[in-house]
Amino acid sequence: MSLIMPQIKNKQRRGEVYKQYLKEKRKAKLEEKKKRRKEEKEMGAKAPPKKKPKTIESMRVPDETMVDPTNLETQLDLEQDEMAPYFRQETTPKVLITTSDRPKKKTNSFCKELKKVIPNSFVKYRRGLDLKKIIPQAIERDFTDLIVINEDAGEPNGLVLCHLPDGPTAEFKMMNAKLCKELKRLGEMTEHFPEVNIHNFNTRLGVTIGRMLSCLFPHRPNYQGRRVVTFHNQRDYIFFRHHRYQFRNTEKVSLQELGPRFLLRLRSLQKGTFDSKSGMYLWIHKRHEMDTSRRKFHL
Amino acid sequence: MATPMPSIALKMNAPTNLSSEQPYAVFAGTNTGFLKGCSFSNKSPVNINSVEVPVKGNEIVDICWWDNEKESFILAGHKDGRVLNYSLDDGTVINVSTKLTEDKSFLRSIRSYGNSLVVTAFSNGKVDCNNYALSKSSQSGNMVMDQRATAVALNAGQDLFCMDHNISLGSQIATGGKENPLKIWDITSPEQPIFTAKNMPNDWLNLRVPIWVMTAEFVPHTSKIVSGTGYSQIRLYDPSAQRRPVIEVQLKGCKDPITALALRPSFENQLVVGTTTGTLALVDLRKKDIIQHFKGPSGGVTDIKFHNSCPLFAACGIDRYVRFYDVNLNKKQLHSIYMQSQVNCLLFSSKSLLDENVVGPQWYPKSKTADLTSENSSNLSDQSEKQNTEDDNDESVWNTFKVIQTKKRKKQPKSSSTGKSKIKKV
Repeated sequence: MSLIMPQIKNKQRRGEVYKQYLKEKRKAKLEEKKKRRKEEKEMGAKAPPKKKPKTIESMRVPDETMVDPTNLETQLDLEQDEMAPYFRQETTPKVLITTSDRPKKKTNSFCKELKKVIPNSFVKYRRGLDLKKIIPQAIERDFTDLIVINEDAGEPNGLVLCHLPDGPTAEFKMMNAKLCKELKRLGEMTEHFPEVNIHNFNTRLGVTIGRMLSCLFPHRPNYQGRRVVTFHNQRDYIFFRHHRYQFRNTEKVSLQELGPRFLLRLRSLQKGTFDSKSGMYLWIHKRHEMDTSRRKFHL
Repeated sequence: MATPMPSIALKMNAPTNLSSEQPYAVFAGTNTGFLKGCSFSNKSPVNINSVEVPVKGNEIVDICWWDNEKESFILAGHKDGRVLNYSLDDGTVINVSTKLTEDKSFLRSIRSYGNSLVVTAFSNGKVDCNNYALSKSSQSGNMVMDQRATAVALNAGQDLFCMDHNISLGSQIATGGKENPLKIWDITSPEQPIFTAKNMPNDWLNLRVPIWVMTAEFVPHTSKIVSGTGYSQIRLYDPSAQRRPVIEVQLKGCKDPITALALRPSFENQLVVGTTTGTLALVDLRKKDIIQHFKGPSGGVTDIKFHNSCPLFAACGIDRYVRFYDVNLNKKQLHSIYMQSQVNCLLFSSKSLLDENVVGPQWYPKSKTADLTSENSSNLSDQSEKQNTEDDNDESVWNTFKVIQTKKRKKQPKSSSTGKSKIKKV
């Protein structure tokens, strides 16, 4: 049918044939669906498995840096990186949140909400200080992390996450930041320590980023509070969500969203504390070199 | 040495890994303390030693050959100041020096010369030059490094970043660092440097130009020295001419510190530089510009090394990759190897045979590569001789070709052009 169609010269006739073709296609699809449902009903568990949809993610270009947690060398590497003291439970997180100079209203309230999400965090006004001057002072006051929210035109659009005392520093682009006020059917936030859900960070770079993000939250989550903070990586976009879960019965769990939402995209990861001029970069996003394939992901 | 091995012992893996059947093309020192060997044909590197305890001081900062001719011993300098000698033939580790660094300083680089001299440079400016001899101990039958002559210690000033040793003039050492200008020292007279670079003249605002020597390398067979700075300048110094650089190149469109630099063999004015943001570029000193960028590194480049007979170089970085490039071919990498931990230093083995899959056969005819790799000699005279013979060969090739002559069309004489043809015939 599809072969004949372009040869028909009359536009009206061609359109009719095309409509017919679409109808038949839809019919075939429906029949296929019906057949499969019938099979599933009759055979039960023995039915042929569902076909997996072809997505960009499932067709991902194989990455040789995928972390194998049983590998001794990677374990050794992780045990001596900068975040290791947190995972050995030697340090307790203390987070300093600040903004770029002269923040607008939205950025300010975003910082306040972030403060509610991250326990043991402090929002400080930037006062026009250089980051390179803030960092030594923060280290002196036993802060373990520094978050800087950058904004453009009153809209938060960047996040710098610097692990203290000696790095690494990650720079993210922030998109779609939604305050609690802008979200519907929101629950009330509590002060329980949240559980942290770091999802789908699988490459070596992803593992480092995941470790940096989980470093922000205290070790022992309060399971009674049932608060959960999620960093979900999908196609190199990191989704942040904040929920409270509730077990309805033994099978069903319901979620209620609590806090702000935002989306992060990694721009660079730098060794050491913030030093964009002479710092050594572990990874930099180079658009023209790296974004050659849509199926290649870095995190 | 008299002091016992430190508790963070590094063991050598079974020597079966080091069979001489397939020698490694490149050795790499990593930040986890592993010394790795990799070849062109294989995608996965092999660990030569084994590390059990995660300690920061284990990090291998620099490696070099103990014997440049035979290439059977590798000296590895660890961050905490230990130097170990790995024997590739029988797979043993010999402890060279256990002098651990004081307070916060750490090892920056290590060089060896003439099967005896070992030079170690530390970040606080201390440079130690010791003479060693490799011998079998009478008690256990193991190989032992004995310290021979009295040690020479230099103080090259605070914040040392780099040290290089002049192979052609065995007693010269160059040092440099942050606010620590490039100096050339003679080991025989360690009190005063024989050359100290003069700072560049003030800039157009009449402000002092900051000094930050990140890397330095002697030009082979001369006393000239090339340095890369933390402000992305490349400077060529000629100590016999003047104290300021003879040539200075400011990389265009790039403000990142130059962290690695390698001179292209048999091309006097070309070198490959690598920066903290992963720029890798071939620079010409005369042209004062970048000739070509190389694609690939996603993080800071830590070391670049050239193969001594092929136009091939390797670059490693803290993005955990070692990448191989052909200088002539194109900007894409020939081959890359994932190393699992951040790579600090590289060492090419001249024994390695090049794989045709990696290096395009069109660039290296079989006979030529076999010749070069089997002889392993990198003397200039030899190379020039070879080049001469090659030139002769080339000419003989030209003689064998037939001269193709284009046939002249015989034109049908038209009435109007007959006059012209007549004139030609005459």
